[in-house]
Amino acid sequence: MSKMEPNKQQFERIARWLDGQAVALSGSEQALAEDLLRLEARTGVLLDVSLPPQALAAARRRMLAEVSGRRRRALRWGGAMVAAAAAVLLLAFLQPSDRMDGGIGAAPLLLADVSESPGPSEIDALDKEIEDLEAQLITSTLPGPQEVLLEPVLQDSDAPWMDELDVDLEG
Amino acid sequence: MEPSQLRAAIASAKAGSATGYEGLLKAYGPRLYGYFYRATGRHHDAEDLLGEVMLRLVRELKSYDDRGRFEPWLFRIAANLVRDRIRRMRTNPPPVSISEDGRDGPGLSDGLAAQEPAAGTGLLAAEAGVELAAALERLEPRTRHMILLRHFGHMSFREIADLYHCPLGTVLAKVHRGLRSLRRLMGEQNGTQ
Repeated sequence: MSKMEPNKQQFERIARWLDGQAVALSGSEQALAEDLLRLEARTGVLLDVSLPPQALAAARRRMLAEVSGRRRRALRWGGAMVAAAAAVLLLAFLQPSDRMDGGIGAAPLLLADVSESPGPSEIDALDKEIEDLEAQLITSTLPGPQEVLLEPVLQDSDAPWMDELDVDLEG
Repeated sequence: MEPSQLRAAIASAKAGSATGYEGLLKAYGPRLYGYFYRATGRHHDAEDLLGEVMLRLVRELKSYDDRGRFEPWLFRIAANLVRDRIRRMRTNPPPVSISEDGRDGPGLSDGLAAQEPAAGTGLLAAEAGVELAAALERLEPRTRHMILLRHFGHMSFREIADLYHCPLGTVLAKVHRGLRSLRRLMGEQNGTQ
């Protein structure tokens, strides 16, 4: 008479017992578990193979190359980060403005300057003021009424001088 | 490897120390090689896969959660590598190298070498190794891998069930039937000789 094949629940119970859980097994379940352990032990002896030294050496070489490669990459990243941080600090300290004494802290001062600058209406008023000043300047350079009367007299007094000068030069 | 030694080696490797990785290779290299060798049947593939799994270990060790068991984590990576390799071999069979060392692919003697058992175990063991390799070939692939992961990876039935997304009882049934088939197939081969 052949043995009854365990059902799904029984297989699961045996598996849990073999995994080390506290499970109560029946006699047949216990027998199957022991049979499996015996088969595993007998087969395992035949499955084992020795690791050839060249395979170990090759794996070691690849592994160490990867480890050192990662270390190099990490150092490169670290160096780049330090260089970037140093550049930021250097820029902060080399800002030319006297308002920049505070380095990065100068940013609020710049914002304050912008907020205190004149608005559009103030700019229009200044513009008009400049136009008035320009107009006054142009008016002041035009000849007045007295200067208009004196103009022919001044031309007459200049003429003989100019003639004598011409004669003397020619003589 | 003792649990405390393993923890120390993992911590050292996680910190980037080559010594830590070397400790892990020394501890798991032989079993990983055995697994790859029995799973692919070729020394060339086993050697290449051992190097590959150590690369993965270096790249992925940071993601290993110390609360879990290390062996199943490592052999899960190994099992995925074997699956990918076998898939690739099916779609694109590698050329056979005529060089003795098989640098440019598996050598002509690779298939024969794959059936050798551990060195120094004698002629009878060598013969049994040949029979075992042939018997393993005849098993259903998933069952074969479950048996190999049980032996080389020391994986529990629960861990194998999680890896293959199948019920716990199914794993036990497959492993038990597979082992019995192996004994029967090896017995048949003995009887025919």
